[in-house]
Amino acid sequence: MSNLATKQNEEVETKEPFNLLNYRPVKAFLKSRWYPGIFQWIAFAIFSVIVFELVAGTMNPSRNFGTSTTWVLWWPMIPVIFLFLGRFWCAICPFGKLSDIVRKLVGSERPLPKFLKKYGIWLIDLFFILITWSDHIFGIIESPRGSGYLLLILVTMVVATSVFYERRAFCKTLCFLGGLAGNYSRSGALSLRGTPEICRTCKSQSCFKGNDKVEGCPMFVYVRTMDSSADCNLCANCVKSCPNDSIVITPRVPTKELWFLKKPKLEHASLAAVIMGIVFVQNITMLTVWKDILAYISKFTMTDSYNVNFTVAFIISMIIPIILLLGTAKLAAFKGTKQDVINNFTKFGYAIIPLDLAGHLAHNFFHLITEGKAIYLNFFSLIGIEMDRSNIAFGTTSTVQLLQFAIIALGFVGSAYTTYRIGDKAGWKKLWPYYLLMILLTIVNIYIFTLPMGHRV
Amino acid sequence: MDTSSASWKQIWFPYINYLMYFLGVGLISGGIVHMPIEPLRYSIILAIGSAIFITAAFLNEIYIEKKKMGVTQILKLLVYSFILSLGVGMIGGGIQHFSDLGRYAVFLIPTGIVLSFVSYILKNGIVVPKKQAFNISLILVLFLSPLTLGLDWYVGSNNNSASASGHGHSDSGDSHGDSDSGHDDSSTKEEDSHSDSEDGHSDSDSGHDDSSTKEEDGHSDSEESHDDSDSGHDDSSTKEEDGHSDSEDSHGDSDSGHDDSSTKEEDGHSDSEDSHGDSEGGHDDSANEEEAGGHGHGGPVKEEPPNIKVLSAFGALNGGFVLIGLFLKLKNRRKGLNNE
Repeated sequence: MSNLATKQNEEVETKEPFNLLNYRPVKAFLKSRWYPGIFQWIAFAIFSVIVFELVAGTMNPSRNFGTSTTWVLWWPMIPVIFLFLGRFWCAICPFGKLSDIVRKLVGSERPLPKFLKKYGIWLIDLFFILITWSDHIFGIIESPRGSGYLLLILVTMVVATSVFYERRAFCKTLCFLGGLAGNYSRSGALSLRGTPEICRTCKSQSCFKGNDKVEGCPMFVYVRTMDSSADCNLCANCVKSCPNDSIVITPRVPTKELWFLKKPKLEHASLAAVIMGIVFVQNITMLTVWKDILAYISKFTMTDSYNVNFTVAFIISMIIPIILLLGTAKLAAFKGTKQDVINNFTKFGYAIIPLDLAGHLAHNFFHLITEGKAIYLNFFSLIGIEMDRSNIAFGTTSTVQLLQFAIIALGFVGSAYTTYRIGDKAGWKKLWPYYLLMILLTIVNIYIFTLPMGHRV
Repeated sequence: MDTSSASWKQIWFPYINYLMYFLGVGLISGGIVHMPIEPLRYSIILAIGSAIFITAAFLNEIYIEKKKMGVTQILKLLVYSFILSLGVGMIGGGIQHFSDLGRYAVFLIPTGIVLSFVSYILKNGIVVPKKQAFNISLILVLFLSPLTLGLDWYVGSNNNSASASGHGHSDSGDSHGDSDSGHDDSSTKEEDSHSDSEDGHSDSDSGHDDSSTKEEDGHSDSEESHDDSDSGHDDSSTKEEDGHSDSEDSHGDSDSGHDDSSTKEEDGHSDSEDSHGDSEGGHDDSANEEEAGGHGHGGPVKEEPPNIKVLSAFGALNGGFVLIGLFLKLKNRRKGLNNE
């Protein structure tokens, strides 16, 4: 592990980072009060319309502006944003803005409870799984009211945590998107860091504590010791508050952070494997073979209840990638990577993240491209302009497939290369179990994308 | 160095790099030239080709030529490589499809020559003195002007035959191109409509109205039945009766977002490649959507007013939290005042 850290340090020392903050307009904008405020207010305004439409608009998901904007535009775009801009979405997220407002008005700014600090990431994983599960059980996506109530539940959670706790406690420890955001942002192409030489001598710690004008890091991150983009919102509070201009925002090769993990965590690796399972189950439920799978499961459960059979399928889908990763870790440990199974599982679990991201993107691009016109059609409908709805697709399904295969191929390259780097550039002989796992997951993904899929709106 | 590592460095890696170079150029040229046919699809192919080409250029410079470069140099290399690949692609694509893309090819070929030439010079860091640059520009103008004018004249004089022959391929995208580029290819469709499913697929996606063709064919195709929403046709039954509903029609519906899976199963024209997409597209038509409430979500949607009880509960809950917050804040403030 120390070798990895040394190599990383060497790289940092030998290459001058390409710092976006070297560009005056960028720096001036990030330091101004307009950032991220202007984006936050725009997002907040759109969010308000969406919530209103979901809870009070038409019950027809195809015609509801809230449904199409949330599930056809926002959800597919989220991983794209994470990939290119890290957790920038979290900086402008309406829930985050709501948290800021509530805290400013009625917040008592208590410190985060230990329980949330310790188990927050597990809660995030749990909520993510729960929401995905309940979507299928209660049909949240297909029901505007269901989607609206989900958002209102989240609003309530935001209000409750913001009333009691400091900073963005909800975003840090409870937001269902947090785990996904963290994992995907690790693969992201943008990173914010402090300059070690400057931070080493800093005594103000204003990036973490804040100052008179700016709040400290809302995600409880101390830039000086920060070595991951998983929790950085790119809110630029630290850019504003740092008295020494230590902050550097650099583009980087996607997945690069995964190559040099100093403290890999079991919960992140588990989530990576679970997300793969969830992406599978999301895909499978939209396939025509889904009914056959349910029928098969019902033979064992002895009931025709969709909820029971789906739950079984859901659990199996999540467990399979974990078992596969565990098996691979065991095999690799047996074949001599000099690490025990759990260590291998934790370290190489991160290598699945690029494939997760690819699967998520590929799945959701199907919706974005084949149902995308619904977004603006429903918007125009909202302001009283009715347009032709005979074709709501931007492209043909064969086009989408092409894109899906390309994305999965990229994901595979990302995962395989990450495996190679995490494995300290070891040869095929040592790492073949992981490569085999990546190939297997890629094949399953590609196979799933060759099957017919249903629509959201 | 073991043998596997040596063979990777000496054979496999350079080969893959070489392959990526030319595969990239091939995809780019295909993407550019077919762009008007189906913009999204071919933009993706273009993007993939560009990514492959740029990666190959990068790998070649860094790992094969082992050049040491800074960030700016790498960025320049990537940009120039991209423009070079675009230029080469434009020339290649323009030549290949000159007969059927006419004026587009007249634009592609000279532009491609200029782009590839300039980017080649920039990419390789060739320093061109002012005088030489003037001469080179003059040669380019003298060469390209007659070339462009000549090609344009040729296309103009052969316009009718070029447009009537349509796009030579028999894949789905090609007939899109015809429709998108505004060609009147009704004659082609009349000839092809029953012949092969691949040809037929394309018309639909472009969403253009070739009803005249279909009327001549005498089909009661699904597009027509969709149009007449008041007639309340059941699409599936129409198609079941319409024993010879051709692939052209059925594909058309699917691409424009209709659900005609039953047709495709029965008419037997659907090729395996397309059938996936067709069933995926599973949208009901707009008329049905109005009545049945949407795309494949089952039964009719019953409109309901907002659930005041649920909303009130949320309001009360959030209001309660806000009140608690207010109370705590006041309490803290008092505490602070007392401490002072």
